[in-house]
Amino acid sequence: MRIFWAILLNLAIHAEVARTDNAEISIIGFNNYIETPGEVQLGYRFKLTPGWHTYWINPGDSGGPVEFIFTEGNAFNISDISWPGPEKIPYPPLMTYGYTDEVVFPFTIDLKDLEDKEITIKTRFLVCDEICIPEQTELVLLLKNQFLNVTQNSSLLSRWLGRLPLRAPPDLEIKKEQQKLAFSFNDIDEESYYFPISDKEFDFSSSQLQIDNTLNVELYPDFTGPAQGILKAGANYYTIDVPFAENYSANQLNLIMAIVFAFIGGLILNLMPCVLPVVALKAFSLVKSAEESNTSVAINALVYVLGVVLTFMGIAVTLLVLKNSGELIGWGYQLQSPIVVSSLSILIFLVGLILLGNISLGSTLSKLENKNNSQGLVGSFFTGALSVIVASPCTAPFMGAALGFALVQPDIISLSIFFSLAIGFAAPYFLFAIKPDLIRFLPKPGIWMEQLKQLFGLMMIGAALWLLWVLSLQISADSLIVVLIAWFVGGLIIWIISQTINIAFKFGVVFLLVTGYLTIFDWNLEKKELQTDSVNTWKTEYEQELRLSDSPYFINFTAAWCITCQVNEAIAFTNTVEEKFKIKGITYLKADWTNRDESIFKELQKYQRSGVPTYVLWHAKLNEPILLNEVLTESYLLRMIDEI
Amino acid sequence: MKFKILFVFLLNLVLFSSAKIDNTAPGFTLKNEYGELISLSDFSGKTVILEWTNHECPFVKRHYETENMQSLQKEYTADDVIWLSIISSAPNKQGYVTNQESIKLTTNRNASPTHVLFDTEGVVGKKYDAKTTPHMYIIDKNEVLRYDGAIDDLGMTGALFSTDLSLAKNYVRLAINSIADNKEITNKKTRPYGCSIKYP
Repeated sequence: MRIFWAILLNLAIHAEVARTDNAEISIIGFNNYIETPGEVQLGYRFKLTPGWHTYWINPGDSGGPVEFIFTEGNAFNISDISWPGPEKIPYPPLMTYGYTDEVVFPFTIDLKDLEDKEITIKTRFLVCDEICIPEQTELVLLLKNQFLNVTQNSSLLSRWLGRLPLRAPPDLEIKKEQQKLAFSFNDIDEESYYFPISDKEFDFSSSQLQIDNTLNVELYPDFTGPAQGILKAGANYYTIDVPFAENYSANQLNLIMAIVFAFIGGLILNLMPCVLPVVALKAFSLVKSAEESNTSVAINALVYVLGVVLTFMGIAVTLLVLKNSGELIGWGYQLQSPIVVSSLSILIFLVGLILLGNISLGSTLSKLENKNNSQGLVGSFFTGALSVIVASPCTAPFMGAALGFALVQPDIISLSIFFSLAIGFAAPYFLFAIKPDLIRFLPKPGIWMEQLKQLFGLMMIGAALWLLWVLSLQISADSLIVVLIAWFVGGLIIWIISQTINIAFKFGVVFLLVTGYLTIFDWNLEKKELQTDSVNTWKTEYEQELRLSDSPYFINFTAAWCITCQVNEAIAFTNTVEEKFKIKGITYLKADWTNRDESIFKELQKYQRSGVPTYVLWHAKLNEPILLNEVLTESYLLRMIDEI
Repeated sequence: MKFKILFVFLLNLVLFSSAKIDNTAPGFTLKNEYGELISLSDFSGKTVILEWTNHECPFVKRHYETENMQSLQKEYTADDVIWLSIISSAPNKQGYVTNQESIKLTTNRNASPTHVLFDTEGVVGKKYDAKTTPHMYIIDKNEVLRYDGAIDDLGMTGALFSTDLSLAKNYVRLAINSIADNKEITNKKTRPYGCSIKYP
């Protein structure tokens, strides 16, 4: 009986079809009887004069997309339409994107209740073949006695829902090399095509070259990203959304800029608290050698420069080899390894001790400041090497950008940037090498040198303590003690070496100490259990969620070993800023890269960065997150937040 | 050495032969509605506006039916600006007109271009990379291409049905004003909208 009534009522409200000269428009659905309130999937169907077409959201070189206007409120909560994958409709030399013969634009309504309601939907569109005709019409959507006046056509609606772009699978690779976009994916074939949303990416009519499973698209020379659109591959369409470039701050470095920055960064590195004492040692030896011949000064300085450059390039080559072997590393990777941090902490502590105690090490380290004999030269070389190793934790602000740039470049460019950094670092001494006369301008040696040396010794111990703190975030408390004992044993060794006793006896004791230590203590440093479930911990899914709900967020990519990050956090993240975050409803996310983390590394790569600090801000008005400067100040942060 | 000079010369030719914003506008010579040969170089020292047109295109129609295009033409030609309406439609394609028809169209629509030019082969259109009708270009007194793009910001479907074109942000007017004030043009390249040009 109920069914009978249903059929009768169904007949009473017939589905509407609006006709224009070149189109027949109707609303189709899976079912027209609505049992419960909620979301209902529908679609606007456009049946066009055969051979004619209408347009995708980006029509290409000409034409325009369909528009829908609701005249009186939106009682049905009608959603925006979804855009199914289009086809290429070329008119050489132009290219347009659209749908020939027929298209269904899926949309949903969300019924809060089942009371009768009605809405008039106005639609305006272009139907074209060679020529274009603008047409408009009105459709009435009606809910009466729980019946919608839509045409039931499940197969047609499913077919077009199946043409909606899917989320790109992880094995769909998108790369930008020079000004070329390359999509690699199993399903790419000769039918494949990348449809961009905007006209900023490439000339629509340029051809897209498909070779095997790769589709290449030639970009505009001034393309800076993002790449947004849909890719047709096999039977499916996939959403493409890659930010590629950064829009803000001076991060779009070109090669020359990167090289200049690397040089300046290198120079500044000399002043870093963990480097200054070591390079000061070198400077002191230069001061002392002021009375010596010019050639002696020159050779000494030159060997030091050589030590710096070779060590730097050694690090660079190691980095590149690792990178090319597929290892996910960025700048600062060396400090993600507890072994490296431990060794550095011991080394720096010992250098501090030597400086502090003014211990004369007879045959070894004190030669760092020696004169022009062969041992002195070896000393000079190793001071250079030592200063580079000690400098590695201190990524100067300038270097962040330059090295980030370096690591995403082809190897030869990476190497030249590292080279420039090395030269910058060694530049002051290089000056003495080419113009030894300059030495006369340095202050005369005296008691101040001893005093300064002691102060520097303390600074070194401070730097070592900082590395211990980094370690404390990486390894368990037990392992930390193992490292501290190594400090102690190292101190003992230095004391023994500095004593005036039989050399054989010295070495015997040192040997015993080292082997004793190594047999008792386990250097398999245990990883610290990390608590990562805090609300503020960055996760891709979490970021995605915020994006979907249109709520703004700020990501702080940081690491314990990154001094710039610590300074920024201390200076810029004030209470005022925190308040502002709260007022504006910005979620603060922290991505801590103290330890190796593939997902953070991949996220950084999206912004063409390979190191921290990196600060990212997103709000609903932006398509893509923006990158903030690497050096933050309170006022800068406030200004950026105020733009939301 | 000689080859080098030749090479540079050829390179220049290639570079200058297609339109690029803030570069010298590519030269051309076309016949007008009276069969006279008109060259871009005839107007050096004057500002020149190029309007790609097709009188049957709904977008163009809309700009003419609302008098929007004519009032711009009047305003600027009175101000000693040269207005060239260029038709790149091939014979038998939409928008193609004979000399007589074109003269009649101008009278009937009360339009006032300095010249209507026929680019039946589409050579000039392709040189300027003209895509749609209308597609507008502005060349300044020093023969430098200063603007390339849409007539206004209505864009695509909006321009067809929107009631009042005069409320739109008219890029041509803004560019002309900026040139007069010796200022940088804010939008010197915009996305043209309209019908595809009916090239042969």
